[in-house]
Amino acid sequence: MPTEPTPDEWRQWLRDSGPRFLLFARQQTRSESDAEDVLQDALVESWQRAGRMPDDALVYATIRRRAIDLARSTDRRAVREEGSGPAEPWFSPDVEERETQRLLEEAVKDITPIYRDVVILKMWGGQTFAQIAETLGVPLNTAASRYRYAIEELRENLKGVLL
Amino acid sequence: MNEEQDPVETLLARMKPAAMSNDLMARLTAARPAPAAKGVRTWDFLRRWVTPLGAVACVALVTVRVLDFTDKPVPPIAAVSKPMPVIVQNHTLQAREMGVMVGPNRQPYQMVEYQWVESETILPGANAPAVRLETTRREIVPVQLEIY
Repeated sequence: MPTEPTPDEWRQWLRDSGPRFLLFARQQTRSESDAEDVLQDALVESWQRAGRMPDDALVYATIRRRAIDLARSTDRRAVREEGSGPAEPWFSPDVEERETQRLLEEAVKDITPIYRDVVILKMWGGQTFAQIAETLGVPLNTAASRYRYAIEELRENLKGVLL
Repeated sequence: MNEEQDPVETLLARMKPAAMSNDLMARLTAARPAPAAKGVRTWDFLRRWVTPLGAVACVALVTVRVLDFTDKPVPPIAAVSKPMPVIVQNHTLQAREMGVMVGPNRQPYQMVEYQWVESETILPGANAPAVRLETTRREIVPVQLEIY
């Protein structure tokens, strides 16, 4: 029988997993407010569909589907806001390595978006290539190749800067 | 086998996704899926059980009424009223040749369109006046042509 989360359960889940889900939602949307809307809808829907705390894979897939639906319904607005990009930092600031962190974050943002989706899910979503392939609707080999291309792009962009 | 981690991956692994803002955290906390209200559950129960049971009861009631009704003697229709005499007449309005077609038996047929008026007159009864109904009808009739 499906169960709704207790307030503590829900808050703990948001604290533990929310930042990872938000990071992915930012990749799938074109503005910070859209990312937050999609995240909220996806978290609630995933829990209700699972009837308990959902697997991360289900949440990522729901985020992606919700983002696609939103982009279709608000295409004009999304295109208008495309250039501005999210203003919020994607990663936690590290006091000791602030400059390194900034350079890395910029480098991650510069990765080709379809490759970046895979890196985000792999590095910070803890997803296997099989799960990533299912979430993004691509073959397993494509998911693995995109990850490799993303790492190569990063290596190229960080050469002489951090490497 | 211990694979050495790629230096790029090592760098990435040091980064952690940014925490959510307090505003977003508060908003998501408020969005927690809540259990359905008691009233809603009661309504669900009613919808799930009482409505079908009510429908079954109605069907049973109607069935009993119908059976009860069929038990009573019904006067035959003939006893209630006698059929009234009717005169039917047809008047041809037009016969038009439409063209020749070859039938499956390789014979030619002239297609003729007939139009006529079908006139029905219900003769007057003891308490009813005469009624006359006229209907225009149309039919296409194949007429076999002679081959010499």
